[in-house]
Amino acid sequence: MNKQHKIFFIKLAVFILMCIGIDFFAGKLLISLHMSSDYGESAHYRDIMFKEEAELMIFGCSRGQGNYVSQIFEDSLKLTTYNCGHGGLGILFEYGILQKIFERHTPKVTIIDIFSPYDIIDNGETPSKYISSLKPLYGSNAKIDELFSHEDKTESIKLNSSLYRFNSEIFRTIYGIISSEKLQSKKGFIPFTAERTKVPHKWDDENSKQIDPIKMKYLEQTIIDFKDSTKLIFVISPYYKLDKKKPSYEAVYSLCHKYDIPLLDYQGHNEIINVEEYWGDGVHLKEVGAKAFSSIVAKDIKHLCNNKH
Amino acid sequence: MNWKPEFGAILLLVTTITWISAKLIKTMNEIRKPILQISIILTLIPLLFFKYFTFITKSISGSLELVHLDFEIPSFSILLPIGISFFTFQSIGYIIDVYYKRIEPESNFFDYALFLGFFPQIASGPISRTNYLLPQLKKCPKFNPDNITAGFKIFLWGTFLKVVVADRVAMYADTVFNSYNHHNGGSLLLASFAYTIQIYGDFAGYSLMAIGSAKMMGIDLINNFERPYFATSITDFWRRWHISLSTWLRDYIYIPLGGSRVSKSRNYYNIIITFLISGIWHGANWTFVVWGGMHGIFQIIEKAIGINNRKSIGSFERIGRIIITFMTVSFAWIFFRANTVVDGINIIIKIFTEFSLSPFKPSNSVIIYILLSTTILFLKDYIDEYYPERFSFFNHKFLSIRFVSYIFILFLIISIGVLDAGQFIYLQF
Repeated sequence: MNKQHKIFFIKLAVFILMCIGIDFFAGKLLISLHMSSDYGESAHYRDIMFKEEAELMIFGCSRGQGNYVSQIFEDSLKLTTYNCGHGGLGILFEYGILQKIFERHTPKVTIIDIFSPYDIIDNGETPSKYISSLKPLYGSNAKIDELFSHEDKTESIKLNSSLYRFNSEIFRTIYGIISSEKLQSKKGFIPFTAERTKVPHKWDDENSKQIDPIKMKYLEQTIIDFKDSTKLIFVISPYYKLDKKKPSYEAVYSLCHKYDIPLLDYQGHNEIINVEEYWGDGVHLKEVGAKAFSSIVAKDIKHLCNNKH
Repeated sequence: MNWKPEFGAILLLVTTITWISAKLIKTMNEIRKPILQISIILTLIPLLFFKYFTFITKSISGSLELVHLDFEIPSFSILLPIGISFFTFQSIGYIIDVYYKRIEPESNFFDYALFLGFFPQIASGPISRTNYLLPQLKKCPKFNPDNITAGFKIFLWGTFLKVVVADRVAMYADTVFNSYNHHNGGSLLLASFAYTIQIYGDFAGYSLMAIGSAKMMGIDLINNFERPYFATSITDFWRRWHISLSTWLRDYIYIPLGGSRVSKSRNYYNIIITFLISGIWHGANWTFVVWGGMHGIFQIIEKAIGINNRKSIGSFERIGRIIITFMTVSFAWIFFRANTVVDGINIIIKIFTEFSLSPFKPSNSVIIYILLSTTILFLKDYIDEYYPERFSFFNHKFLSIRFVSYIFILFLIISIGVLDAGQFIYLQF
C-alpha cells in the first residue's frame, strides 16, 4: 500500500467516524427536543403517548378526531375522555400509539373509529405513510419495531441511523420548540372546519378496492393485544347521504364477531346522514354534526356498558 | 419498468446480433448496407415488441373506431424490460459507427457485452459511445483514491437531487396532477413548475449517481446535464438536457437526414422528425409524441426568427430568455406528465380558465423542505453556471470545508430526503 492509499484510508476512516458521531449526537439532540417541546403536533401526540391518563380514549383518523366531542362522552359516561385521533393516519399508526400508551396506562374504554381507506382496504399507499411518525419510537417497543418489518427490506438498516428516525419530522420537532402555539383542541377533539370543500359530496372512492392484509392483521392484533385489558369498541362513522352500506366493512364485522367485540355501525344513520348542515364534506362532520353524532354514540355505549353489567 | 432474469436474454440477444453484425459489416464489404439494415431491424424488434406493441394495437383499434369499424385487436399486458430503450440505442450507435468506419468492430465479445451492459448506465443511461467507453473498459482501471473521492462527490450530489429535491417536489406535483379535476388553475400551474424541477432532479440525479459510481471504478461516463434550466433558448436547452440522447439523435438521425446543410424547409423537416423520434423513444403514448413535436416546433420557430444562435447577450436579455425558456419547457412537460393528450389539454385549459391565487397548500413541513431543497439546487447550479471557480465547497482546498460540505448534504439526505425506495421516472423508458 503506497502513501497516497494510506492517506486516503485514514481520511475515509475519519469521515466515517465523523458521520457516525454526528448521526449519534444529532439523534440524541432531536430526541431531547422532541421530548421537551411544549407546542405543536409533535408535543400533542407525545403527551398522548407518555402523559395522558383519560379513562376513555378515542382513536381514529380525521373522522375520529373531528367526529367525537370528548366533553359529551365525559358528561354522558362520567369518564374522563381524550380524543387521540390523527388526520390521515389509520390502524397501523394507532396500533403503535396504543402499544406505547398501554405500557404505562390502561384506559377503561377504548373507542376506535374505523375508516375503510385507512383501516381496511388497499388504497395503494405503503405502510410508511402511516407509521413514518412512529420512527422516533423505534427500538423502544418490540411490537412497534415489528410494524417496520412491513416496509422495504432496507428499512431496518436505515433505522440504525438515529437521524433517519426523524426523517421528515425535523421541521415539526424544531417547530415544537420555537412555536408558541398549542394545538387547538378540546380534549383532543378538533372540529372539521370545511375550508376546502364548501359543499358536501357523496363519498364513493372505496369501491372495487381490495382488502389490505397488513391493515387487517393489525386490526386483529389490536383486538388480541388489548381486548382483555380495556373495553374495546369499534365504531363506523356515518357517510353523507349513504344509500348502500360499504361492503369493505364486512371484514371488520367478521373480525368483531370472531372475538366478540362490539361494533357500532352508523354508516347510514338516518338522524345524521341526511342533515346537510351537519356535514363539512362527504365523510367529515362539522362541529354541530359531531355534537349530534357524539350524543348518539355516547348513549349507545352507555347502553352497551349497562347491558354488560 | 421491470426486471426478471429472463430479460437478460434480450440483452444477450441484442449484444450478439450487433456484435456479429459489426464483424460481418467489416468482412463482407459488398453487402454491408443490407447487413446494417437487417441488424438494425433485428435490434429494434425487442424494443418494438415490449415497448410499443400495446400502443400500436390500441392506436389501430382507436383509428378503426373512428371510422365505425369495431375490430378487436388482441392485446396483452407486457412487462417492459429495464433499460431496453437505452441499450438498444447504444448498440445501434455501435453498428452505425462500424458501418461508417468511425470505429473498428470489437473483437472480444465479452468486452463488447460489458460495454452494453455496464451496470451503472444500463437502466437509464447515459447512452455511451463506443469509442469513448469501450477503450476505458478494456484498460481495466486500477484502484485510485482520487477516482473514489471524485465519484463519491458526484454520487452524493446525485442522491441529493433525487431524494431531497425530486421526490420532495413530487409530493406536490403528484398530489395535484393525480386528481387535476379537483384543483384550480393556480395549483396546476404550480404543479407544472414542480414537475419541471422534479424531472430534472430525478433524471439528473440518476445520471450523476451512474456517473459517480462509474467514476469510483475509474470509468468516465459522458455528462448528461449542464444546468438545463439556465438555457437561454429551447435549442440551448437541448444542448444541456439529456446530452447523451440529444447527441445520439443528432449524430444518428438528424445529420444522416441532412442536418442543417440543406434547404430551410428540409432542415425544419429534419428537426421535427428528430424530435418526434425523441418523443416516441421516451414512451409508447401520444403524450410523448406531442411533447417531442412541441420541442421540434419551438426550435423551428427559434431558427426562423434567429434566436438560437450563440451570440453573446446582455444580462437583462439573458434573464428574460432564461425565464421564457423555463416557462416554455414547463408548458411542454405538462404533456410529458399527463396520462393522455386529452388530460394534458384539460390541464392547460384549467390553468388559463380557472386560475386562482389560492393554490392547494401542502403541509408546512413539505413547503419548507421544498423551498430549502430547490433553493440549494438553484444556488449550486447558479454558481456552477456563472462562478465555477469561485465557490466550490466539494472541491475546496481545505479538507475541513470539504468534509463539512459532504456532511451537510448527507445530513439533508437523511433528515429530509424521501427515502422510501421510490422509482426513477426514466426507468419507465
